[in-house]
Amino acid sequence: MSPDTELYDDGWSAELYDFVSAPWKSDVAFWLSLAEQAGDPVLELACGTGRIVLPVARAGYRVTGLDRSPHMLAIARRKLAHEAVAMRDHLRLVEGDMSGFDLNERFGLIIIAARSFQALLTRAQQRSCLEACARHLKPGGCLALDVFNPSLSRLARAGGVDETPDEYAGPGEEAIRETGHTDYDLASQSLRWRSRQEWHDVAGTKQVREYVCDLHYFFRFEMEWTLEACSFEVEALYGNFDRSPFTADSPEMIFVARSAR
Amino acid sequence: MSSELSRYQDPWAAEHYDAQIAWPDPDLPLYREMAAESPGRVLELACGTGRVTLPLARQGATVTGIDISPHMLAVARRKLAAEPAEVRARVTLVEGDMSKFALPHACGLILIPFRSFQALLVRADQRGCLECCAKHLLPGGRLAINVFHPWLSKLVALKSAEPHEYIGPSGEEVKAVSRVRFDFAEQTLTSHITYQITSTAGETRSHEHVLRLRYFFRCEVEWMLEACGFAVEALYGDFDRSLFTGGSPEMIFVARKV
Repeated sequence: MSPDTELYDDGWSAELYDFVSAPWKSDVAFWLSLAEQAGDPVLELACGTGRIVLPVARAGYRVTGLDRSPHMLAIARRKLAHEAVAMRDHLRLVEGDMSGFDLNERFGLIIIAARSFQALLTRAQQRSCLEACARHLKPGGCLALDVFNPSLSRLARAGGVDETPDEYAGPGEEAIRETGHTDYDLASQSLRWRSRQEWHDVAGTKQVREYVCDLHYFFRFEMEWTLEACSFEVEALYGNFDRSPFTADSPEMIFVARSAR
Repeated sequence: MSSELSRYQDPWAAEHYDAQIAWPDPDLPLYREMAAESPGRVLELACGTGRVTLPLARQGATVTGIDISPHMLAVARRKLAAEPAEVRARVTLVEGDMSKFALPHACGLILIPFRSFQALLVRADQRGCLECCAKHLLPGGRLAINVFHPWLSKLVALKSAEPHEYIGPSGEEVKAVSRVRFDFAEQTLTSHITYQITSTAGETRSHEHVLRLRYFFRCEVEWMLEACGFAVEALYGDFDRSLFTGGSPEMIFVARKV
């Protein structure tokens, strides 16, 4: 495998993502509470393997999940097949690009969770995504997205950051050792995270996968100007999913905005 | 004197400004070139004591300088009075707020040199300033803004700046010591600056004021300019028009009114 394989562009990393992200629950209650306020239908961009769209649909909302990766969507569909028939009618899964989509429907709430918006590296892509969101919102509809609050001490380190090695049981209970390194480009405000997973398969053969993941990192006011430039009004900024106010040490920046069009 | 005296309201700071800013004007050639290329009038926001306004007028530009400080403008007027009549005739100095100003003329070029834009701490004032700029530009007119590129490796650890020593306007020896505090959530830095002053007769005293600045990141400024009706034409990392990189000391945005 080429070392420049993008994360989630193959079946294995999609399965790994589904397995590793399954326990992430802290944000689901937050997105559900927004759905309660904004009403359906709900659209999630970059829905991945359905970690959020499935519980939102289970709660009774009509939901559309959009993702670029057929591998991620295949897993989401597999999980959906195990759900009650009535719920399956609530959830539509669509393969598509979050920076340019046309679903011919208007939504009460659009969610861009788990830092997915950061996969849009250029201002043109970011604008195109937000303009598509504005076109797909009902009057007064709500857009909510979360990005990480960049750690200045990580950005400041010359030569990038070696990630702490991690060991965990993979989807087939294989013992995976994961190492990684992140480089920051301060001029373009982007990072490249290279990760490497190693394990021994059942036959005892050593397996190695290597991936790259490129993300843009946003600063607080940058995101406020981005939203404003694309005709959104920022209604709230939270520092975490418990709706705590944003501070310098907050792990997240969660923006809730309304279309001003 | 209150330790919360703002540098912009401090008459003492105005008298000392030219002596303090021992900058060999590395930005002037760029602004001179831009002024020579631009049709119509030039407007400088936060012109201070005329460091940029006066040389541009000397090379033939018709320049308006706006500043919020009457003390800074008094120094600029004193310097202007020493210029030849034709230079004096090309300069208009106006006391005003860069975030809300109204002038009778449109301009071909607006300059906001030397981090003055960073005195605008909140987005409403930043927007106010840029919208005023757009209103005062001729079609196709250009805006140049210089802010510092946040020095992240220092930002995370900086508590005090290097002491700065200079000779004041009356020959006094001055040593300036800054205590710097960052607010990373609001992207501001506050310098409490203490000046230890020794007069030529050997008497000592001290003076204090506060300088509060917003720091900006690259993409933030680009979005801000777009949101306020500008298209970014160039971003330089230094005054020699070198390309902006992660290690650039400055960010100089040149934007055109859309």
